[in-house]
Amino acid sequence: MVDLFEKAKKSRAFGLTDALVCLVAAAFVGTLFLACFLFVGRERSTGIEISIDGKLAAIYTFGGDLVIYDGYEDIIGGKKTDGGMDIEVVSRYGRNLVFASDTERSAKVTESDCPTHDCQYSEVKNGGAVICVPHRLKIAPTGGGRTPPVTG
Amino acid sequence: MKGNFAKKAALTGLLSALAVISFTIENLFPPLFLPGARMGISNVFVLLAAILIGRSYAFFTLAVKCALGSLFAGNASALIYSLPAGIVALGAELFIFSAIKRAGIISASIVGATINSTVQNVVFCLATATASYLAYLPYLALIGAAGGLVVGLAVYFTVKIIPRRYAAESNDTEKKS
Repeated sequence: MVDLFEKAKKSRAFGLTDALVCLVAAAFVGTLFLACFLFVGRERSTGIEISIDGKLAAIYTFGGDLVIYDGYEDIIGGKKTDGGMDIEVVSRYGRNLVFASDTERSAKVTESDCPTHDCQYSEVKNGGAVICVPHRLKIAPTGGGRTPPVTG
Repeated sequence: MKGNFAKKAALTGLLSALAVISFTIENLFPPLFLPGARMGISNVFVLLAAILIGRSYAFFTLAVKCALGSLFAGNASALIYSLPAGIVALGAELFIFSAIKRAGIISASIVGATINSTVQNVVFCLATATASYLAYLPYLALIGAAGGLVVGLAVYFTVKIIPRRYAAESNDTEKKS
């Protein structure tokens, strides 16, 4: 087995072999971009579905209404604003405020009391999804022919 | 033999603590452009553990970093995707650095970071059943590669200035003598 310390001490910063190794990595990343370009759908979503703990909790259709599933009425609330709707989700894991834009047909988390705030850096727009791991919240574009539930 | 183990244990503890601290501090800052995208500065200490102490100690440092780092960041469920990604990436880095004769630590770190981002994103998509998150994969891999370059450079220059006496004699060297 190679003594890593000796090798690291003696090795050059960057040689021809390193260039070849990096070329393989670059080819891999390039393939990922190509696959993404070819296979990722760009159709505009008609709305968003909000899931908590892996279970569908609400559906919002852009320009339409917020339909909240049974058992989630106390957790999710919506308020119409200029150009969209503010959807507040207060589950036992924490609070997220989601803004669904009717004009841009997109949705993003504007406020969250989660520790990492990663959810505030992604957006549902032409695909994509927003996931708040600490709050087990998922916001995804509607699809798969799912129809809003009959409530009341 | 006993002294060498004590030295290894002390170094592992020190590097694990530094990895957890840097991981926690990095988590306090917003991600780079995309959700979950980070430089992975804590990997400097994991790679240093591999070089200064030994391969198995590096995996231990990685496990400590992922477990305690996720816990301190308040996102324990991140362990589901950060640990497998870290193990695969570290394995790849050590393989490239050990098996390819003229490969340096910088290129190994770039490849490892790219693999880390890729595996992490794939496991995340599987765990959350969100295929649409795969759209971020190439961008995360690219940011990962940039992070790997920074980590590789940091490790390269750190090792150059560390004298041999500060490195614990590796198991492999012990077997040889």
